Amino acid sequence: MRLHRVRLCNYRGVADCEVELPAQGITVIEGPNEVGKTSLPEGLDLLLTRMDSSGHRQVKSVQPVGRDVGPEVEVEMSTGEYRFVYRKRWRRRPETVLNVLSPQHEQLTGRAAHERVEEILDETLDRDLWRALRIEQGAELSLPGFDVPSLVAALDQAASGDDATDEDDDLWTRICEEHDRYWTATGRPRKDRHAQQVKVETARSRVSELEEQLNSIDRDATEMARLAANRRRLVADRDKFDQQASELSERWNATERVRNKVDRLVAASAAATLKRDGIESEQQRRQELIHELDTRTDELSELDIQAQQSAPALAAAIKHVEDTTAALKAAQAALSAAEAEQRRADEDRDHHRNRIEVEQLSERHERIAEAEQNLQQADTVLESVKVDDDLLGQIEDAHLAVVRAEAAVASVDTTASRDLSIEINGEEVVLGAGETQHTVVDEDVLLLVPDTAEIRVRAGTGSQSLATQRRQAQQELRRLCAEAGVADQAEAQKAAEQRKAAERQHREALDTITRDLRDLTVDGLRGKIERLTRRIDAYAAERPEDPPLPADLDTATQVAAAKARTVEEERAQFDNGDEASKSASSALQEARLGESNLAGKIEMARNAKQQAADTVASARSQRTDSTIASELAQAEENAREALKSLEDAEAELSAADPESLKVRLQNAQNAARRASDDLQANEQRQNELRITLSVRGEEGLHTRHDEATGEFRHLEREHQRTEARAGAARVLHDTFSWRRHEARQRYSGPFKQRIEQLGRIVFNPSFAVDIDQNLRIVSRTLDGDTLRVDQLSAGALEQLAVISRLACAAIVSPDGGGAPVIIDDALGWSDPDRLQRMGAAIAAASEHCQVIILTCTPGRYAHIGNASTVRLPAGT
Amino acid sequence: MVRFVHSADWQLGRAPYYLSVEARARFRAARIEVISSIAQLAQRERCDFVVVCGDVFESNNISRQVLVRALEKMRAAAPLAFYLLPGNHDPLDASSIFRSPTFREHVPSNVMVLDGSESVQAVSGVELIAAPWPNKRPLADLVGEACESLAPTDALRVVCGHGAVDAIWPESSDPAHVSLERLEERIASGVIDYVALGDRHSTTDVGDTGRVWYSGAPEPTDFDEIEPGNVLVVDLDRDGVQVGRHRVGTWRFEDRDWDLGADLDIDALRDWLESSDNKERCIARASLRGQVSVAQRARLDQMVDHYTDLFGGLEVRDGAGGLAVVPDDADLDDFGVSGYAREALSDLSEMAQSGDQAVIAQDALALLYRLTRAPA
Repeated sequence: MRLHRVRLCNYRGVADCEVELPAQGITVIEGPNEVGKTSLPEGLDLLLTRMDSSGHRQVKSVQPVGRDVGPEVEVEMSTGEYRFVYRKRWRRRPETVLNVLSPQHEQLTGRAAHERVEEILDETLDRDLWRALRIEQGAELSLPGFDVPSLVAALDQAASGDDATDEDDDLWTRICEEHDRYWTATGRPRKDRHAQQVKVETARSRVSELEEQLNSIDRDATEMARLAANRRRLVADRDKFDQQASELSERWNATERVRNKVDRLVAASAAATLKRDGIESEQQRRQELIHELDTRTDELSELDIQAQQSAPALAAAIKHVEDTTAALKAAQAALSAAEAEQRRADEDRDHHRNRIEVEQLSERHERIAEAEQNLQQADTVLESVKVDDDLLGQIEDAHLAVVRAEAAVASVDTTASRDLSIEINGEEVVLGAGETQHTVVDEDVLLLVPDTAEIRVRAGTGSQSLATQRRQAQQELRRLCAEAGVADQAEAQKAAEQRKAAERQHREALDTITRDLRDLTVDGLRGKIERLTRRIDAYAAERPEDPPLPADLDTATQVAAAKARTVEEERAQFDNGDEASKSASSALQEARLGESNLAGKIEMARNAKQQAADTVASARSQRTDSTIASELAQAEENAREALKSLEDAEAELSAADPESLKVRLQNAQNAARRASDDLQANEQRQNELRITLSVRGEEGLHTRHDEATGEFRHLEREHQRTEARAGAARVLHDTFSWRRHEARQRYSGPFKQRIEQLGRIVFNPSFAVDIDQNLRIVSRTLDGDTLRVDQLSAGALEQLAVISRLACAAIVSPDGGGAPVIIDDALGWSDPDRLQRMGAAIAAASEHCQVIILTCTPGRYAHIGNASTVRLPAGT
Repeated sequence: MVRFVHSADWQLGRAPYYLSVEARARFRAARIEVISSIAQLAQRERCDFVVVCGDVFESNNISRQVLVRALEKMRAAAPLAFYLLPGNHDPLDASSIFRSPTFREHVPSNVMVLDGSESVQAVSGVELIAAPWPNKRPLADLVGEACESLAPTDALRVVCGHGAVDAIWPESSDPAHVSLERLEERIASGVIDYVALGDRHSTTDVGDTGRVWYSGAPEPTDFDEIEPGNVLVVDLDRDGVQVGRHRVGTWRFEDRDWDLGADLDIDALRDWLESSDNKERCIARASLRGQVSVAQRARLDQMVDHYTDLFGGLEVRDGAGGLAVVPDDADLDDFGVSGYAREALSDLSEMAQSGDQAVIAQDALALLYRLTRAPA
């Protein structure tokens, strides 16, 4: 396709603008903004795509503002063998005019003209190529794939020498479409295939389900046949067992009759036995009565003998009681006398003991009085004398301190060789011969021997403190002595000893009192003495003179002991007598009781004998002994006969074997009942099945099964066909895809080569590109450095975009084929050097194709050597 | 003399699953329609009654619609009497259709079930002895047993039975097989006069007496039947029997093997299909073998598609050895492709020759062939 001329009238802001374009090479259309430069390709698009009646917004948008005229575009172009002038006006007086100039002249208007152009373009123009070869101003920079029919065909032809046809591409599209009908983009079966499979499975399940239902009917029918056979058997069984039960029941009834007879004979035998036993026991009672009478008679005789034997013994017992009673009385008198003497002797002994105790108590009382006096004295001393051991210790310590202090101080001993009077510190001191006056020198001492000498003893420098110590010691001693109430240490010692003696006396007095009082008080002691004294006096006054009071306690004690022994002896004597008396009394009582008992027994025995005699007589008066004996013999005979009859009947019953008969009867009855029950269950099941079959039989299951099978087979067949088609589509697709890929690999070579040829002009000889199977540049290598296209700068990307289009156009466009490359103000990102090189590349490519460059920057494309330039005037 | 129609194996409700829904419905309807044809024949031939010797119904569980329509057809033929014998498809078991509520409610008075409980006097002097199937798997020769205790009589006796006769299937040891010898002995002794049998769908004169017949099914049911579609009109008297075949069936089963190689063979196949009358009532089966080109295969496919729509049923299947699709040079040129497409085509051709992928590759070639010819 080639553009020869384009004209815009009343198009946006363009009133009228016409551009002539050379068929080959580069046309640079320069013009400032808003002169319709970019409107040229846009108008071309409108002309080729929108009918003159179109109200599309794209059409509306090119309506000139404020002018009542329709936008108009006219183009003269050639494509394939056609060359034509084509014009459209929209909006106002719409009009389409086509004037085909060659190969045959045609003139058409309106829709016919539009459709004819469509037809021509469909026939001659690769529309994908037409779109791919355009770089529009402001469009996002991108590197398109050049998988367009023209390029593919051209490359294929270059590679194989064959004429690659549009049909091949169309075939590939169909193969892909066929493939895509069955397979997803990821190579999985499409959902509808799966759905079809599900349908097949559902139909298969339905068939199985119906088959099972039909089988179930068959099973039920078979069971019904079996139940019918069962029924016949069960009826026969039931009848047979009923018959058996009836027969056995009859035999059982006969046996029952024998059993009743046995029962009756058992009763009769029992009655006979009972009667015999009754007579037997009557006879036994009669014997017993006779025996009783004999026994009573013997007993009475024996008692009478006993009574005769017991009379002398009773008399002896009475005599023995009298003797023992007299002896006992004598013993008691002796005991009383001895006890009186013993009491006297004891009182005498106690009397002596009281007298001694009074003496002892009086002594204790006296000692206590004396001790109390001593105690008082000691307490008086203790109150007056304060020097105890502690105080004495302190005084002795103070005295020792004074002595030590005085020893430390210098002193002067003045010994008189004769009696003389001297003056010491002005104080006269008279000394006998040999007497020494000791004077302490704690300060200067003036010793004046009148008329003889005046001696001054000077105290030393340390005397002062020593004198002070001495004074303090003396003061302490004095204080302590004053506290103790003594003059000095010697007196204190004496006082201390006095105090100690008083303390001892105090303790001893307290000990005496405690010891002698024991558990008594002084008053209690005194009271006790008085009471005892009174008792002694009273006893002495009261006691008869005879016997005389023993002389002392010991004698009295000995007498008392002797009297006590006498009492013991007398008491033993008395006790013996008492025992003998009691024994005699007891023997007598026993004898009397025996006598009495015997008499009672005799009476009772007599009565018993009489009663027995009466009873026997009474019994005999009713039935004599011989009568009873003959009745018994008869009864025994009867009982034997009854027993014999019973045994015979029992033997008959046993022979009938009632137990076995009963078991057999019950078994037959049970079997009949069970057969009846089974029959009932059988019939119930038959009824159930009859109902089930009746209902199911009406459901037309076989027909439904046939239909379901038909449906299933149909679906299965369809599914198999689909799967076979899917498999075929995949094999076809994959085979074609592989071969196509291979071919692409092969024929992308010239395209790559052409791009690299142009690229080396722009970059340098190391420039290379990689192209994918969609004929899209994927990476660029420069100076050994490979970058993916998305890593390239905007400038490089733009340059590649132009180069790849030029390469494509150069391959497809010779001989008027292909389409023009339209570049709307690209390369804005390229620096001047690169721009210059791009110019050379564009020039090189344009030898084979038509290149139209639109720009508002005149200098940008100045480097393209062989370009024709069309300048659009401002305000066209 | 008595004249009656002997039929059997109506198998009402039957419809081959491999037919389309539409064809199945027609097939099923035809089996009901044939009752009217039989009734018209009987009336035309002045027959006294019709006996249907077993398998009246395809199953005891056919749809109610089939049952009531069939009964209605027989009702319409009244007073012509129909005697129906339960066979192996519709045995007289607990699920028997002859005891179903619908049957009992709608059975017309001119239709009687031969349940074998007693002999039936069809017309004066003619006694029907029936051997119905009590279940699907009897363990005895039912027909023989039915005749066993019969005493000679003045009446003409027609035995109605169903099942395989041992003389026709001698290799089988099925205890239910009908003993021909036994029957012929009874015929010879004059106890029975005619044995009307069902089960075999092909009209067959059994043995040499001329008195034992399979009427065959009035409408065919499968490919393997030799002469189906008939009923018999039987003239019977003391002196002898005359049996006449009358065609009433409207459907056909056609089956043929085809060895394909040249275009002429495909032409012959096409002619065979094309020449078939009443295609919509014909179920055809072609078993193909041999070797065809991709183009021939495409032609075959197209033919099959066309005749499938015309025929009541058409099954084209691989015969013994199968049908191979082998592309030839002409095929490859015929595809009209070039460049990589031509290479891919060669790949597929090679795959189609042999190996696991041969069949799928043949399919792929057929698909490609179609795609190259599909309108744009």
